Amino acid sequence: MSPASDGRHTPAPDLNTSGTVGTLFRSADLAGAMEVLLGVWDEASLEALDRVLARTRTTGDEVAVAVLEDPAGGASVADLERRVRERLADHDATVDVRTPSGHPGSALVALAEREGFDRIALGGARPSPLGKVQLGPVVEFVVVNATVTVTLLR
Amino acid sequence: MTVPDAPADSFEPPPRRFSDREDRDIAIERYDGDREALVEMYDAFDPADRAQGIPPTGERGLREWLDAITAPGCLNVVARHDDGVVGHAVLVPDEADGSELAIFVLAAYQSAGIGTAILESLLGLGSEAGVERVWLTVERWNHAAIALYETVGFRPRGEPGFELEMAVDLGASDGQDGL
Repeated sequence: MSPASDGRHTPAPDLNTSGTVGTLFRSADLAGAMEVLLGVWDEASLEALDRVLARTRTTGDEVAVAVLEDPAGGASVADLERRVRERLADHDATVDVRTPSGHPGSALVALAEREGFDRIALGGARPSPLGKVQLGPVVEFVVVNATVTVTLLR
Repeated sequence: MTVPDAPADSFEPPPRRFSDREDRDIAIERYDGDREALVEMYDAFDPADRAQGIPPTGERGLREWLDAITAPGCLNVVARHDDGVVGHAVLVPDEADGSELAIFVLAAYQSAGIGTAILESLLGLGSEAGVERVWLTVERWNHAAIALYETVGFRPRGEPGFELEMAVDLGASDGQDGL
């Protein structure tokens, strides 16, 4: 079964993905500036923004943020976009903010591939009450379907 | 979406004593605060049997995790053999009105009926404490664990992702004759 919840306009999971999961600050292959696309769709995923911005100050990476629909029906895209822009202003960062519509996972993957980003970065892995790592449907979809490298920030 | 259609059988809270399939004398008890015995068990735990990031590796991470899951409000049950802890299961309340369950059994003590006994005792303890719904997540490929959870009444719930979510109703307040 597809990790996508509605299955209407999403491609089937491609198990031959070249995407990998790593930890942003540990990978040895991160030398050199890259174009990074950060996906934001809820509170937990928004928390990754500060870390990505902090990292760009040392690497010179170019970051863009894609604000996506929350599959859990939480905050609206407009509300999230406003909060992303507030944080960017706090960091005094000039960052491209995009709002691709549609299924969040496929919209993010399509944008990254269409515009040639080197890497997709994702937060949003929340611990369960017991401390288990929980990857939501957006993370699962992107990891399985992206053909660019995916970095999961935990 | 699959919802458990009937409450699980009523389970007896600990203590319980039995011989496992290897004829080992196993005692199932409520966790009594003996932190070092738990740390010792997790030190001996096969890293290959970790699930979704727990138990944490490293002494400090392990102790912080044990602090969190043995805090007031959490329910813990251990299996002992020859004075050592060989299995441990826990219920941690979630933000709604359910509890998340996890269980770990040392490799040498798996497939001997101990996991089932720990789960039955923990669900009995939970039921006694008024917990009505217990859930867990398990990696989809972990067929042995899924079979164990099904044995005590867990059923899949929701859309399967990388992990399968399963739940069981303890039927604490449904008026059935649950002793």
